[in-house]
Amino acid sequence: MTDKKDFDDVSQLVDRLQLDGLKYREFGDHRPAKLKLAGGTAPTAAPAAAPALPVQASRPAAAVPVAAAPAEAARTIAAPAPAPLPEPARTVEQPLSFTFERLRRQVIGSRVQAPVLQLQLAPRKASGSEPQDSVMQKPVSNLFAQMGQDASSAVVDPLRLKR
Amino acid sequence: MRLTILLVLLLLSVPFYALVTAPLTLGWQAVTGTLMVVSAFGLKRMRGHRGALAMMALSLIASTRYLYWRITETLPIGPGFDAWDLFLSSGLLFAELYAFTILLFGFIQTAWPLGRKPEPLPEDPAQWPTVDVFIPSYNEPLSVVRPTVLAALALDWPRDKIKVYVLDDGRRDEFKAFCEEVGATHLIRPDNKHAKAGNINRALKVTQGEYIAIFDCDHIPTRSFLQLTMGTMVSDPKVSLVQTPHHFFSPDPFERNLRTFRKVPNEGELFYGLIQDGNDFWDASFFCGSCAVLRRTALEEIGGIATETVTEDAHTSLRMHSRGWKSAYINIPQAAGLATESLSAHVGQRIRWARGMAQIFRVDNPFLKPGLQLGQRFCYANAMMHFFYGLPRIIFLTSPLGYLLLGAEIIKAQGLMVLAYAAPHVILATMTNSRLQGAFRHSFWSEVYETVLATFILGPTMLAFINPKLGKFNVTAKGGVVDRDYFDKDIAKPYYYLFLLNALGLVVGIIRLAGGEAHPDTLLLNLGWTIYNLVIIGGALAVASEKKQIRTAVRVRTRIPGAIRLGPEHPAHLTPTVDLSYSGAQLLLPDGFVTTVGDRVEILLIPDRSDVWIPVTVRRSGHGVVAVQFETLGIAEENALIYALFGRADAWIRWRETQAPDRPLHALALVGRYGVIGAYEFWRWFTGDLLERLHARITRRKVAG
Repeated sequence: MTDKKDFDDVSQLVDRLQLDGLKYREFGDHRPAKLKLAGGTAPTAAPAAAPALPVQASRPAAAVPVAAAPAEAARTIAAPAPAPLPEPARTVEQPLSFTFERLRRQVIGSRVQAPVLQLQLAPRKASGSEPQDSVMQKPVSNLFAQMGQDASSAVVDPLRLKR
Repeated sequence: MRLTILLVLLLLSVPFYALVTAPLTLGWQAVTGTLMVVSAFGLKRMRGHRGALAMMALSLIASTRYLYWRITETLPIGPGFDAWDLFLSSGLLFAELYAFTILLFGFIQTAWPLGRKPEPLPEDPAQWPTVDVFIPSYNEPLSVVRPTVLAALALDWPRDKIKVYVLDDGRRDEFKAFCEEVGATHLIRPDNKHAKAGNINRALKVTQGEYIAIFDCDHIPTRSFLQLTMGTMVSDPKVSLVQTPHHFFSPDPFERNLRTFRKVPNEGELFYGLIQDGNDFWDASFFCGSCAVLRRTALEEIGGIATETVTEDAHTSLRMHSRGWKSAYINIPQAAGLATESLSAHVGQRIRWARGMAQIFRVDNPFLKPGLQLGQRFCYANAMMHFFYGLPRIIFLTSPLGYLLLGAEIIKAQGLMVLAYAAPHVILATMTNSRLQGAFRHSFWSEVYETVLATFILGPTMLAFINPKLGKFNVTAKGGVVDRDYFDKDIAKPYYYLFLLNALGLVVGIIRLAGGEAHPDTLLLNLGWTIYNLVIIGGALAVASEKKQIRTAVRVRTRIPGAIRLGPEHPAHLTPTVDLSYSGAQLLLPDGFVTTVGDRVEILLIPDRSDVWIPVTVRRSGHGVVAVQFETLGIAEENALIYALFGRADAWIRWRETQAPDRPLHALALVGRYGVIGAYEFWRWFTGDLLERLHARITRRKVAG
């Protein structure tokens, strides 16, 4: 079987990760092989890595021609947009992320002194330490009323294993 | 704005306080817990990250509510309880508070993974900066270092702007000769002071590149590494560091011994897949010692790589952050290396990391160090505190035994009440973590990973915390081979003690249950907990059953274009590879290509980019494939192989795609399966060892008699 097709690892990377706008340049010494193929096929050379030729790795219609650096092979990975714009340092995808970023910069950056809350909370009664019957029958309406109940009335859980 | 945030937080704190502290009866708590879990299932279906944030909030409410109840109502204080109860109870509470802190910090850390993309470089390569590539080595064999050096020399960067240095702390002649042959610079120093950090600092003094790319000697870069990372550096002069993931193309001991390679995310994937991306949002992604680029001026400003701790990498970036430098993380694998081969080597490496992080926590505590932002403090603190899991993990693995074997009252509450409070906390934390981390860490695997290491890192972390100057840098062994199947009884010793203890607790619990227990719900709860512990410890025992490594060179399954021919005068047959390693390859057998075992033929890898034919010997032919072994390779052939195997820009980007998404119940079943396998293998070794010793003793007595 033949699996002969242009092989371009950078285009694969760019397409799969959607790195539109990334302009890749070749500096390596890559020479495509000239092959005498079995079955009488004429010698063939792979064009993908031909040096000094810009290669459109995606959507030729939207490609932006780029002058190759002297003596270097240049490759343009074209973005679908008319011209690749430099991306911001942070990728802002959604309004909430933008808000997050703004909040982080404004609030965290200034190192605000966190307020110290001194809540005078009444001690509480342990629900697990009540007799089973009263626990099971306690009406919901009484629950919040019990929040201020004195803990001194708490008793040891009678269901606790006796050793 | 600050006032608004403060007001919003204050307003939210009122319902949060009410939800956390409302005392409920067993029935109403069960209803509340069920509603929370049902809500989490609803949120799980919500697309986008907002759903994940909502799940985090719900999970935090459930966990805080549980802990509030634990602290205020379940401590065994008062008549009928003794100091022993309180001691064991305090231990469990400490472990739970630790786990809660890590959960909370973890949520903050991964609240918004940044997913940063590479920045473009200047149009004109003449404006690109100069880069020095450092490859430090100490005692690794040249065979491990060669591919890294050759791949570094093949990085796509202007040739006059890149220099590759091998920092050879072993001062080896063969390294020097190799560097001279391939065009790298061999750097040595008179001593090995401060290990890898000292080695790099010495090289900094004798090199001039504006940026430093650092690769561990077994981390082989792809050719695109610099073009994907340097744009971020160039576009923002405040960025001091660009880190990329550490990718491993060989299975680690978990993956090899449990046969989960490329099926279940490995231990490191959570960090490199998610946590570093989350750190990046808070400008806190940190240096991991390799596969990164650093700005020379930033390094020089802090006096070079930090030398006070054995995790010099994280410590270095902490210092750079505290000086106002920024960092970036590009979550694209652009280098790959060998994972540790044996469990003992893996444990040794993790001990070093744990000790180093504990050292930093002491000498440069992120909560106290001036200059850091709040988010950075949380991210660094979580990274360091994570390594203190040794004691909490052991407590979780032994707590039910306090009740089953010693009859201690650890939680002053009936079993069903504990279940009603704990279940929503555990289920919501599991579901939320699955939502956040599922692609990078399957549910319940953290327990296995931590159980394997807990007993080993406990001592070093405690010692480092008490005295950060204790201990020295140990080099992680790479490139070795596990040459046989065996049960590593030395490394498994803590696990089988824990396993036997839990098995004993299970037996005693069952006997107590059969004997008519006064509180069967409490007993059943502890029995269930013990069974879970047995499964997790069984998983650790399965990891300790070392499996033979069949090949010395790691075979990477990859389909790339290739060609094969009988010799230079013969026609070529185009055919793709099935897999490839540093010692051989397997290709599809082309129609009309006839060969037999032992034939010497030639293969060509990626004909579009290479005309270098590699001489090989046929080792197997038939069933549609031909397997070949490379003969001695020259530099040109080795370069062609390295490009095809490691150097392709897209070499590692599809690896995560082969893994199934996390399904918590499925993951639990899989962990359970390994638990059973581990228990069986331990039992087989245990009984075999006992019989062998018994037999030896009888034989000795007979001889003596």
